[in-house]
Order: sequence, then C-alpha cells, then structure tokens
Amino acid sequence: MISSINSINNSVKFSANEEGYTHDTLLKNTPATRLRIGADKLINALTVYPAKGLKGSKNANFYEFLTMGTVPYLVGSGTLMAVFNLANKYYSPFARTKASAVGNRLALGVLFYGIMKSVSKSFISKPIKMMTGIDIEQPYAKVVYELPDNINDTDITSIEHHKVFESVEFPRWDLHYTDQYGEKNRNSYYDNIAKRLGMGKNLKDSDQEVKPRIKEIVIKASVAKSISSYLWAATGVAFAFQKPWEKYLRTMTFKFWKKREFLKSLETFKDSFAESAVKLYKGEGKKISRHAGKVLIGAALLSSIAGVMNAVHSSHKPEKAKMSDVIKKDKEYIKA
Amino acid sequence: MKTNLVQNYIKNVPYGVINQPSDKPYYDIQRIIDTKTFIQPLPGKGKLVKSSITDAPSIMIKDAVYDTKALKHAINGDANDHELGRLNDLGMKLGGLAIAGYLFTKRQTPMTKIMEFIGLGSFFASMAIWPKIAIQLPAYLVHGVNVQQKYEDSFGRRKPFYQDPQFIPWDLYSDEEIQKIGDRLKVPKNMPNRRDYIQEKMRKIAVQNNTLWMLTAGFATPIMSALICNVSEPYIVKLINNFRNRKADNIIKDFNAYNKKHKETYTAKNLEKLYREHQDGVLDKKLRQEIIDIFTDTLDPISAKHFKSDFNAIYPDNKYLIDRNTSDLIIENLQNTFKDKNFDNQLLESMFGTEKSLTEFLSKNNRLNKTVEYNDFNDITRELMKYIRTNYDKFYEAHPNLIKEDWEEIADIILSNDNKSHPLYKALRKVSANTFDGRMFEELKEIAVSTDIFRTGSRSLDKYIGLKVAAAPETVIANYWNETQKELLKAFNFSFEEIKKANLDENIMGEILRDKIETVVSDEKAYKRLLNKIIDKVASLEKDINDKDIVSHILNKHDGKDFYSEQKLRTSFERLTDKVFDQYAEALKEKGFTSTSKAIAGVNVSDSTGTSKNIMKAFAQERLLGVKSAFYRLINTLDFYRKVATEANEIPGIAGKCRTIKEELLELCKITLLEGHASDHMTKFYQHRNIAPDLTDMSDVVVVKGKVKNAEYGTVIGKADIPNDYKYYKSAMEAMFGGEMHSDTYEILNRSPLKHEMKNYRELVYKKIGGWQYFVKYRSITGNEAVSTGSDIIFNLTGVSPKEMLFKQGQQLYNTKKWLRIFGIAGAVLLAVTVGAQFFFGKLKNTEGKK
Repeated sequence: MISSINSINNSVKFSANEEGYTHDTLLKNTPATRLRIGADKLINALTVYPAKGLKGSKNANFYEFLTMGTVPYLVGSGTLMAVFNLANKYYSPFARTKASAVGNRLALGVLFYGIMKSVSKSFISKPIKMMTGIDIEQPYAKVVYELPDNINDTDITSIEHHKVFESVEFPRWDLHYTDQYGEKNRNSYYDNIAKRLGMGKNLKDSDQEVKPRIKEIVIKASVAKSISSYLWAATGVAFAFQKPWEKYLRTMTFKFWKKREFLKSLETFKDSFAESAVKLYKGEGKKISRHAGKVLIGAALLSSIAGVMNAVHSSHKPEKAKMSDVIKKDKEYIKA
Repeated sequence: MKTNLVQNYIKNVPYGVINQPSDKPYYDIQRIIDTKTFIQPLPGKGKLVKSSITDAPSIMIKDAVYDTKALKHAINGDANDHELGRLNDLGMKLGGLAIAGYLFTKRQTPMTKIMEFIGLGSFFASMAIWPKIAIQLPAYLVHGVNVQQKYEDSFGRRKPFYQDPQFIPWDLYSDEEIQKIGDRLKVPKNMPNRRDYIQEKMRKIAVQNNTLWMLTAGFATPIMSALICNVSEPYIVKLINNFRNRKADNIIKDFNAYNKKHKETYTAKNLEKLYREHQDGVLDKKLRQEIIDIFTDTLDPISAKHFKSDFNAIYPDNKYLIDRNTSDLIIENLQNTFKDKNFDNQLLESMFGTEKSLTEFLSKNNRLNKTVEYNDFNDITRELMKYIRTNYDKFYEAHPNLIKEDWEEIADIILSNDNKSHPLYKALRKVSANTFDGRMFEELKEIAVSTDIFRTGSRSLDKYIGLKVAAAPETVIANYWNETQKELLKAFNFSFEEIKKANLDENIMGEILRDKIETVVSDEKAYKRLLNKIIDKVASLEKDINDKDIVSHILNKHDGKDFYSEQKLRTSFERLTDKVFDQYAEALKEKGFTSTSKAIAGVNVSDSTGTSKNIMKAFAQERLLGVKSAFYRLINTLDFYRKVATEANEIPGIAGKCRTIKEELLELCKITLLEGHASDHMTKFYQHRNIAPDLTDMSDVVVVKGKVKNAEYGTVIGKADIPNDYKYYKSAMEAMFGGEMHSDTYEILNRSPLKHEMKNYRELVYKKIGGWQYFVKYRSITGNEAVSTGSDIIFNLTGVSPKEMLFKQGQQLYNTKKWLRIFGIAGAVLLAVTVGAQFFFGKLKNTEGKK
C-alpha cells in the first residue's frame, strides 16, 4: 500500500540533499572517497539496513541485502578466529601453547585472506585503467526515493553507493555523458576512451562505438577479478601459515604507548614477513610440498596477468557484431 | 485511519468527481493489419523451481554445465550479470580448493590431509545448510512460506524469488497457490484484495528472514563447520584406518604381486647412467664414492660402511699414472720431508734435481706416462733412490771440501715413512689409473640387479610395518592405542567435572583413578563388567594385527614354548623379511661382499646379532610389546586391587608379614602399579618405611570398600628407605606379578585370547625386571641369580602407567569437551534465537498490504 505524506506543513525532506546530491552523481574514485563509501556502507550494513530488514520494511531492497553481505564476512572472520582460539585458555599449559600457535596462525590466515582478497582486486582494475582509461570501479551516488513508512515519515530519500559498471547488462552509461557537467562535448569521456583503445579520434558517435568495447572489457575484468582475488586470498592464507609468523605472534602488541614493546613488535613483524615470504616461495619437504607455495603464487599471479591481458588484448581487436549474430532469423522474438 | 493523498485530492475537488465519458473503441482492422500494432512480447517462460533433495545431483550437474558456459562467455566478454555472479561463487570455491590443496601438502598424515578438504567441504556445506535448517524450514513450518523459493526466468536462469523485494515476480505464483498460502497465514477469506495482502505478508516474512540470514550466517557457518569436522573426525579415522590396514594386509598377502607393481630400478639405472658418463674413465675417489652411494642409498649406516670396505677391497685403488706432475710432486714432497732436518739446501737441491732432470730420468727408465701398480712402487723407489744417490755423489764430487752428510741417514729419512706419508709413494699415488671399465660395470650390474630386488622387497616391508606399527601417528597400532584409551575413560565412567579437575595435574588424576578403581573392585559385578569391557577392547587388536603376521615372541609363549619359532611357524612378516634379506646377503656373498652380507643377514639363519634383518624384525616386535604391555599392566593393576579388596591378607608375598610391613607393601604395590616408572624398578623401589616395625603384631590388615584402613602405616615420624631389606623388593614383586591372578580375573581372561600373553607378561616382569641387578640393592632380585635384561625390554614391559595414560587421554577429552561446550552451546543458542524469531515475523497491520 502506498502511504501518504503529511504535507500540511510542507515539511517533506530529502535527506539526500543534505549530502549534496540532488540526482545520481558520479564520484571521484579516490582513496578518500572509497574510504568514505566503505565506512558508509559498513555502518549502514550494521545498523540501518538490518533494522529495516528485520522490520520487513517496504523500502528494503536488493542493494541493502547485498550490502548486508559484508556482515557475515566480518562476523564470520571473527567467529572463525574465535573457533580456533577462544577455548585455548582453558587447556593445560602445553596444549594451550600448541593450540594457540596453530590458532593464532589460523586467525592470521583469516586476516590475510580478507586483506589479499580486497587488495588484489586492484591488480586487475588498476592496469586496466592505466591501459584503457576505463575505471571499472568508478563509484556513483544514487538518489533513491522511498515510500513513506507512515504519514509522518517525511524523509523519503536515501543514498546508495553503486558502481557505474556493476551491472554489465545495465551500465550507467548516462553518467559518463559530460554535458551534464558543463562540458560542451557530450561525448568527451567516450572520445577519450576511443582514443585510448585505438579506435580513432573525432568519431561521429564515439559513445555508440565504444560502449560494446567497454562492456566487453568490464565483463572480462569482472571474471578475472572474481577468480584472481580468491587465488590471492588463498595465497594470503598460505603466507599466514608459514612458521616464522610464530615469532611475530609471540611478541605481537598493538599497545603503541609502550614504545619499546611496540617497536620490537614492528621489527619482528618485518622479519617474520620477509622470512615467511621466502619460506612460502622456497617451500619445505619433498616433491609437491616443496613447490606448493610457488604453484600457488604462480597461479594467483598468472590469473591476474592473464585476466588483464585478456581484458585488454581483445579490446584492441574489436569484432563488429554482425546483424545475423544479434538477431537470428530462425528465432521467435515477438508474438505476432 | 490514515489519510490517503489521492483520497484527499478527490474529496477536496470543488466540483466533485467528474465523470468523463470514456473513449469509444476504434478498430480500424485494416490499419491494425497494416501496422501490425497488435504484436506483443512472447509470454514469459519463467517458473517456480520445485525441487527436492533427490534433484540435488541433477541440479549440481546443470549448475556445473551452466558455470562452464558462463566462464567461456565471460572470457570472451559476453557474459551477463547472472553468469558473472555465478562465476564469483566459482572463484570462491576455487580459492577454497587452493587453500585446502596447499594445506594438504603441508600436513604430514593422511587424516590431517583429508581433514583439510573435509574442513573446506563442511564450510561450504554449512553455508548452504544453515539457511535451510535455521531459516527456510522454521519459516515454512511457522508461516507456510518458502522464503528461499527459487524461480527460473525466461532465459533459464535460476534466481532467488525474493532476491529483490522491490521486484518480486508474483505472476509465477498461481492465484490458487497464493490463496492456499494465505489460508496457512490465516488471512481472512473475505478480505478485499486478499492476494495483495498475502503477497505483502509473504514479502515481509521473506525480507525479515533474508536479513536474519545475513545476521546469523557469520556466526553459524564457522561454528557449524567446526562442529561437523569435530563430529566426523572419529568416523574418518576409522575409515582411513580400515583402508590403510587393508592396504597393509594386501602387501603381505601377495608380496610378489606388490613388489612387481612397485619394482625399483634405481640402482641399475643410476649405475648405467654413471657408466655412460664415465665409461673407461679414471676411478678416482669421487667416482668411487658415487658408485658406492648408488648401492648404499637405502642401506643402514653400518651395512653401508661394510659395503664401502668390501667395494674397496674388491676394486682396490692400485693403479697409478706417472706423468710430468709426478716429478714436481716428488721434489716437493722430498723438500718437505727434509724441511726441518738441518741439511744444506744446496745439497738437497742438487740431490733432488729439477723437474726437468727428474722427468728425463723417469723417461729414460721408461716410467713416464705409464700406468704402474702399487706393487711396482718398490722398484720405482729403488730407481729414484739411485737417482738421488747419483746426484749426491755428483754434489760431493763438485764440492770436495765439504764434509759429507751420511747417505744412510738421508736414505733413512726418505724410506722410513709409512705408506701414507712416504714422500715418493704419496707422489706416485696421486694420479689414479684405475678405470671404470666394462668388466667392472658388468660385475657391478649383477649386484645392482640384486640390490634393486632387495630395495623393492625391503621397501615393501617398510611400507607394511610403517602402516601397521611404526612409531608415528595414524598407524594401525597408534589408532588402536588412542581408541582403546578413549574407551578406558568411558569404562571408568569419568564425568566432565572429574576430567576438568584432573586436567591440570597428573596427581589429581592419580587420586581420582585410584578412588574409582578401589570402588569398582570392591563390587564383584562392577569389577567383572569393567574388566570384560577392557579385555574386549584390548583384545580387539587381534582384528587389525593378526599374530600370524606380527607377534611379540616373548609374549606369545604357550606353555613355556615360543609358539611360532618352536614350531618353525615364523610369522608371515618374519618369513618375508628372512627371504628378502637372506637372498640379498647370498647374492652379495657370491660377489665377494662378505662383510656386507654379514651385516645384512648375519652368518646363518639363526644368527641373533644386530643385523639389518634382525633389527627389522625386532622393531615390529618391540612396538607391539610396548603397546600391549601398557594395557596388560592396567589389567594386572585391576587384578591386584581386586585381590586387595577381597583377599589382602592372603596375597603371596604379603601373607605372613607383620601388620606394618603388610600395610607398607600394599601401599607400595598399589602406587607402583598405578604410577610406577621403569626407573622405580631399576632402583628396586624406594619407600619411606618404619625402621622399627612391631614384628609381633601379625594382625590382618583391614580393607573397606577396596581401601586399606591403615593402623600403622603413616603414623610413625622419621621413616627411611631400608636398602638392606632385600626380601622386601622380592615380596613386592611377588605380590604384584607372582602367583595366580584373582579368580574373577582368571574367569574372564580364560575366555579371552589374551590369557597366554597376560600370563607371559606377568612372568616376564617378575623374572626379567625383577631379576635385574641394581648395584646399591644388589641382592634385591626375584630369582636366585641376577639376569641380564636390556633397558629396551624393561622400558617396553613397564609400558605407560595407568595414571599417565588416562591423564593424557583425559586432557585431550577435556579439550574436546570444553570446546564443544563453548561452541555447541553458542550454536544451540543461535539456532534457538533464529528459529524463535520466526514467531515475531510477518506481523502486518490490517491496513498494510492493501494497495
């Protein structure tokens, strides 16, 4: 049911305006923006969205559901760490030492999994941006008009942070038309991409020429990101499982006000990091065991390099879609 | 009631509602035909997915095909959003497999390796199962709504029906289905817009549940996964154990077939390779070592040493080449020999000559660039001494005024050195002229073939013994050890609180265990029940390690005879070991490697020295003896406690003693059996005793419910060990290991396959350990004469004390139970909250849902 808004006092608010957005707005992809968006999404995922979801709000949507997907990741990581460590304090001293050594490394593995998964995405997106000018992670703020929850609910807008190319079927091409930002040439973004992709300058309809190519690159980059980020995450876990980390875990402290211990901890971190990296690469034991680390690093590296090459390579060799490929004459599309 | 804007508007229209006449329909059929305006989209092919658990395999295959196609599409750059979403899941599984695969290579045992994949599988399974059992099922039971309903869109893509609450494809539900759900939701039948209301209710329930899923999955998945691993571990241990045990049995069962399949060619191959690389090359020190290394790759160090010495004896380093460098070396060595001897340098230089003159001399004597044998060294030395003497004479001819040095002394300085430091020999020996020729290769090749047969056989035996009894985790015997200990804790009925108490201190475990044993043994039924359980479990080893395959001979004697060796019925493992080692030893002997042959198999079949063969056989026996002794010790302990509970004053070794000594002996025996180590036997027991007991008090000790009520013991201050009382030790050993077992124990043992071994065990401890002599208490021996017992036998026969055995097992059990308690309770609470939340979901105000 669509509820009404009490407009007697003309008090309808559009909170989106308070953030400075009156319409869907392209955002600069800078570390500060990414941090702000990340924090905003995280806070919402932990507060507003669960509250709306648990109430079964009529405004709850897919974006909120997806954003809440961060919660199991974070909680799961914490729980996983707890599963390996929480009971250790009840064990006998010897068992505790042994269990904690393994438990701490597992916890470190969880941490490195998250870090590597997150960081490794840029192994795909950065080179692609450098080579093609296409920022597959380009964020934008979407202004969403909601249904009022009740007659007194006058705040009917909210902001969602999306990415321009998050849907390959419905990318927000419109946000890249630059006349809306005061430029004379509506297609300047697409002109630039066309130039970067070697499709020529001063194209008549650069947007129409470039869109299929961008789409192709985004799809290829997306799959490369999906596969490689998990392989890098696995490498992170393998890295955390190296024995030299035990040295760091024994001296680890985050109490920066205790200068001596903290500096010692940092120094040990540096040593453990280097020694673990060497150990992961060089391996131990015989046969597979000796080369497992190299294979894992190689697979992750290869997935990133091959992913970027695939995305960039074919975009230099566009293949014009034939009409016969788009519309197949023997297939029924409409009911006549 | 809320005000509706539209209603307000209508109400407030000044002239009321205007009824406008509707447009007349206009059908220009010709125009419609011409422009085909009646075309419309194809009807949707979407449908709700109604699948059951039995469809899971077909869905899995379909998904795999879909994912493969999606990957192809994505790599080619024409995938859609749904396909890309699926590929993200694929990446996650791939990453998971990469982690499990990597950790698999890091783990040492089959169980830990497999658990990596079980962990991964259980994690993904938990991710899938949690929303089904904690969300979908309760929601369906409470509301009748499937909140995890899936649908297939017109393009065959399966998606969650409630994925996007703003775009739910309600048309896929028939009116009948919706109404039926409405009935279940208790929506009034006569409600206007009933379908809309039901849909709104369904949407609300779905949104609430999806949110609940997101909030709980993070806690639930790791906990569930860990619980699954925890619960499945014993079953997996069993499965792996059965598999590995069968594998081991098959090696022995068809030894030749196994060897054929795992034939080794390392020695022959590497020898051939080496020969190809060094054909007719000089057999120098390095090459010799390389050849020896090929043959001794898997030999034990002692046999390898013998092989080296045999090899050097058969292929001695006895041919050398004399070349230009030899002259240099001879002069250099001679100079060094005379360095500190105070001779005139001019004389020395003249005597030894120059490299040129010496080379000319060697050439003239037909020695240069010739191969000489070690036997020729004498002749060459004579020639060289002649050369030096000639130079000596020439020098003094040229310097007639100089006083002559004594030639005999000079000759003595050169010739009196032993072979190793002889200045001439050293130089002559420098360049070896022995070659790795075809004859040598052919001879060695025959040995290489025998070595490979031996390698194959001994590796198979190693594999067998490794799977069965090796001192490593997850062998058959290690699994039996763990399993039996776990059963013991159960049999003794340890509560969680008791395990918790004993967790940090071994002595607390000792006290609890002693108390439990004393309580059980005082009740005939309870004792028999416990003993039956323990004996059954201990005897279960026979299922996995048959005494026809491996046996501990000293435990297996029947009526004083070693059942297997006396009747020439060696165990299958021993027969095969004899065959493999003897064959190789024979082959080596034939080729002159007699020393190696002896080191491997001894002089004859019954040679009991520490040959490789005997070590191989002894290893299996000793492992078995150690494990069995630990459990036999426990049975003996229970038996002794039973005797104390029922007939304390009649126990041999205790009967007839004064009250004080009886009490002291009983306490000593109880403690020794429960907690004693090999070192306690080695020192013949140390106990603080009353040094002046009342020898006239011959009264009986009083035992109440298995516990001795001491009248004397513990009352005297200033006690000491009495090393001179050698009978005391004998009495204690007599009480613990001498005489017959209690009739209740005997009754149960007599029905069990353990009866002979148990009897032998007690005799062995009594004689072998009791008869061992300790220099401080040298008369404290059980027999009349001291026996020589190896420390290995003492160690194995003592086994592990019951207290330590249960303490360690108790610690493990406590850790597992504590963990289960924390996370089991957390999981249960989470499940209860998640399920309970259903009762608060789907509440809709009457006005909601009406559009």
